[in-house]
Amino acid sequence: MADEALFLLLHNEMVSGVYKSAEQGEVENGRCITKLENMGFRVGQGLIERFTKDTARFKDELDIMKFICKDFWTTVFKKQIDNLRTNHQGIYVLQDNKFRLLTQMSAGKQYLEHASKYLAFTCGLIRGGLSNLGIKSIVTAEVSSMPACKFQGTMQKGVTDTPNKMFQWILCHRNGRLRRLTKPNIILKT
Amino acid sequence: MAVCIAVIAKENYPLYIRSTPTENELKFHYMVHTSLDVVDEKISAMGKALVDQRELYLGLLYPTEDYKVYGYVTNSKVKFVMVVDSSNTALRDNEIRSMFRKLHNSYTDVMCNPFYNPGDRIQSRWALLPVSASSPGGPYSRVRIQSRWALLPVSDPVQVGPTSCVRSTPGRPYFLCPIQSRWALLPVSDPVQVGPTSCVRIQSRWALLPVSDPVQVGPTPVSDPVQVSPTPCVRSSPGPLITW
Repeated sequence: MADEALFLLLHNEMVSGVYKSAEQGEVENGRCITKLENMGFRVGQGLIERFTKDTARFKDELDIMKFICKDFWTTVFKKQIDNLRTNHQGIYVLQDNKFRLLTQMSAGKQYLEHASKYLAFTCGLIRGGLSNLGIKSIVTAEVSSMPACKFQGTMQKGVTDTPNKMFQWILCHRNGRLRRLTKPNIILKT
Repeated sequence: MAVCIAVIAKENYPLYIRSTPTENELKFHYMVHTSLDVVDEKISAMGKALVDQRELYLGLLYPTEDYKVYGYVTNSKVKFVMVVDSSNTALRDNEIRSMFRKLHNSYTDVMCNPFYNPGDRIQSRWALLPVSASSPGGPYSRVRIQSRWALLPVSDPVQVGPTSCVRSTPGRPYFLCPIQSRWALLPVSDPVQVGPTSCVRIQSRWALLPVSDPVQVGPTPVSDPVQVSPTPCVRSSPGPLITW
């Protein structure tokens, strides 16, 4: 991205555009988030193809997650994920201290109820990127306090071809410390 | 020179496969299919050995008596397979690598095409035209077909497609478009409407007929490429002369 403001503003307009068309009845209510996520999915697929064109082949899942944290996040949001943790069984924890798409909104609890709309696209982005690299997943988001945000991922089938297991990745930050989940836990709250 | 190019999805079905139909196409399809095993073997071998060879280019997969097969895997597990004529010994590894590089670039562009759904067959007209190895590093663009078919001296009889008469006046160059393009070679029994291609003027017994919509064909790199002396039977029925 040549200029991060470009993507930020476009993204905001995209979100409001989708919701406006929902009001006019073109999209069913409640499907807006899905629509945004699907957009992000397709974009993620194409982006990953471009970004991995020149990199070496990935060794394993951890390699892929590191790539997402460093190169992918840097290219899209101009910063890296600050902390990556794993329990080596498929749960990955990624920590982002200041999520770019939310910094302009507020620095606390204001507008918290609207934050989920602005995270749907990024969830899709991650999901699309991973799907193109061979990892099926479901990524959802949760915000507790701006600009901190929490992305939850449910991995359905790993690169290592393990049988069906439910895993999670978390990108979270709470006051600079990391919350570590010890059991699968799907939370959807704004 | 590449005789066959294939793009295989990660689920091991072909997204795009094209070969020069001088021989049985099925033979190339079969070769590509068998080479997939070798590709998988190489990928898993690399993973276990933890060699620092984490390149995308796999190198020579296996040679047969007439052909050599080269492979390349992207990070999204899409495989490119190229079958090359063994008789061309001048083809070096670097050239093969650069051909794969260009193929990868084209594939990335296809991926970003909004009209392409990932997983479908690649039907873009422009996608993945083969690159000529005679000009390594030459400009690759979807418009310019720098094919090895250009200007074969017509002293050698060449069986191409379902047509019978190949030779024209000895010593006279003729121009064949690569069969990978949308052009089919037809003997000129019918008057032919040809679309707006540029600077390929052929007045020979060959007509370049678009199978679907016409494709822009750029200039070929040979000095006197396109003027071909008219051979006796250009058209059988009165109609427009085939010009561009």
